[in-house]
Amino acid sequence: MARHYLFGLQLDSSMPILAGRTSEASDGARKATLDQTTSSALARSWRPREALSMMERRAPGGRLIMAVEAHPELGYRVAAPRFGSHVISRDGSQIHSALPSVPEWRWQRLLFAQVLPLAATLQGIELFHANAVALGGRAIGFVAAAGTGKTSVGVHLVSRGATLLTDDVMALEASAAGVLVHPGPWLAGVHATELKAIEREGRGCPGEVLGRSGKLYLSIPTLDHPLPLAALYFLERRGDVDRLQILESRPPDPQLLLSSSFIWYLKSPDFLARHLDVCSRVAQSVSVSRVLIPASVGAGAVAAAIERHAAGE
Amino acid sequence: MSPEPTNAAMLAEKARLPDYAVYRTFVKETVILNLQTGKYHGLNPTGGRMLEALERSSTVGDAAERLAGEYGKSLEEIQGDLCDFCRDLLERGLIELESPEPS
Repeated sequence: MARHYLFGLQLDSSMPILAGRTSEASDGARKATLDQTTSSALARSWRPREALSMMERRAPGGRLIMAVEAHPELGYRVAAPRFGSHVISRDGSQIHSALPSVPEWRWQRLLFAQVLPLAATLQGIELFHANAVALGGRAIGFVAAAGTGKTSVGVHLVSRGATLLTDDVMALEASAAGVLVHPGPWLAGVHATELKAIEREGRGCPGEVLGRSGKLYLSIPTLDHPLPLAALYFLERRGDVDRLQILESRPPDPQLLLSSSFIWYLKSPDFLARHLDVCSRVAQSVSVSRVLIPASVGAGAVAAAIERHAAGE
Repeated sequence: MSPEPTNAAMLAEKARLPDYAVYRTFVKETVILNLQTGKYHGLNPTGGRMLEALERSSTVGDAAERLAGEYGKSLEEIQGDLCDFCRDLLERGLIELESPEPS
C-alpha cells in the first residue's frame, strides 16, 4: 500500500500510481482508498437497473467512450472501454477499480481525468478544467477549451523552470490563505511537436516519456504541497487577432469563472453553492486575464509571454 | 394569480432570499444562484447593495432609509427604485415577501 497526495486527497492505493507520495498521515486530511478488483466482482457489486446515467460520451459512430452512472446507495460508476471500470462510494472515500491489461500510464488516464476528480469533488474540493504551474512561489492557472493548448503552454513553462502543479484538472479549496491549488498527478499528454519545439529552444524534455496514444504521455513530478492561486489566464485561440494580447480582466468576469467547472454533471445544491463560493473567492483574490492567441503563435511564445506577465514585466 | 403588491404594502414587508437562493459578490457584480434551477442571475453594484440592504433590514422600507442616506437621493425616489427592484426579483423567484416579525 502506498500513500499519495493529489487533488487534495490523501490516497492510500494498493497499486502504484503516477503521483507524489507522502509518508505523512494527517487527521484532518480528506482520505480515500484505491483498491484493485476483478471485472466480475465489480459488476456484481453494481446494480445498473437502479442507476441513473449522469454522462455518456460517444464517438461519431456510436462507440461508447465513457459513461458515468449514479446509484443512490452504491455511489458512482465510471467506465471507459480499454481504460477500466471504477466504482466510487457516495462519499468519495472508497474506489474499487477493475483494470484492463494495459500499461499503467494508460489506465491511469481515466483515473486522473475522471475517477479521482469525482472522488475529490464528493469530498468537498472544487475543480476547474484547467492546468496550473508553480512560478515564482505562486500558482498560475490556465483555463481553455480542449485543443487550445493549455497543456502545451504548461509543459513549455515547466521546461523554462516552472514546476508542474496539475494538468487538465485543477483542484481548488478556499482557505484563510486564499484559494489553494492542490497538486495533481504526475501525468501530462502533449503533442510530439511541442517537445520538438522545446528541444529547438535548447531545453530538455520536462519529463519521462511513458508512451504514446495520439499524444506523448509524460511523467512530470509535481509540487508536493498546495499553493495559493495568484493568477488565472483564460486562453483563447482567435482568428480575428494578429498578435498575442494579454488583457487583464478588472474586475474578473463572473461568467468566465462560473463556466470553468470540471464535474459539470453534479448539480446538487451543495455542489452548485460551493462552485459559486470558490468562484467568488477567486474573483476577489486572483488576478484574471484573457490571453488572445492568433493561429500563428505557438505554445512556446504564449508561455514566454505569460511568464513575463506573471513576473509583472 | 394574486395582484402585485403596491409600493406601500411592499415597504411594510420583509424581503428575504428563499432557501433555494444564495448569492456571492464578485468585486463589482453580485451573482444570485437559484439552487433549484442552477441558473445564475447577475446584479450590478447598485443591485448588489440593494440586496444586502434588504437582507439586513427588517422591512423594505427600512432598507430604503439606509440606502437613501448612502446614495444621497430622496427617500421617495429610493423607495420607488427599491420596490421596482423587489418586483424584478419576485418575478424571477429570487426573493420572498413576508410580514416582519413583531418587534
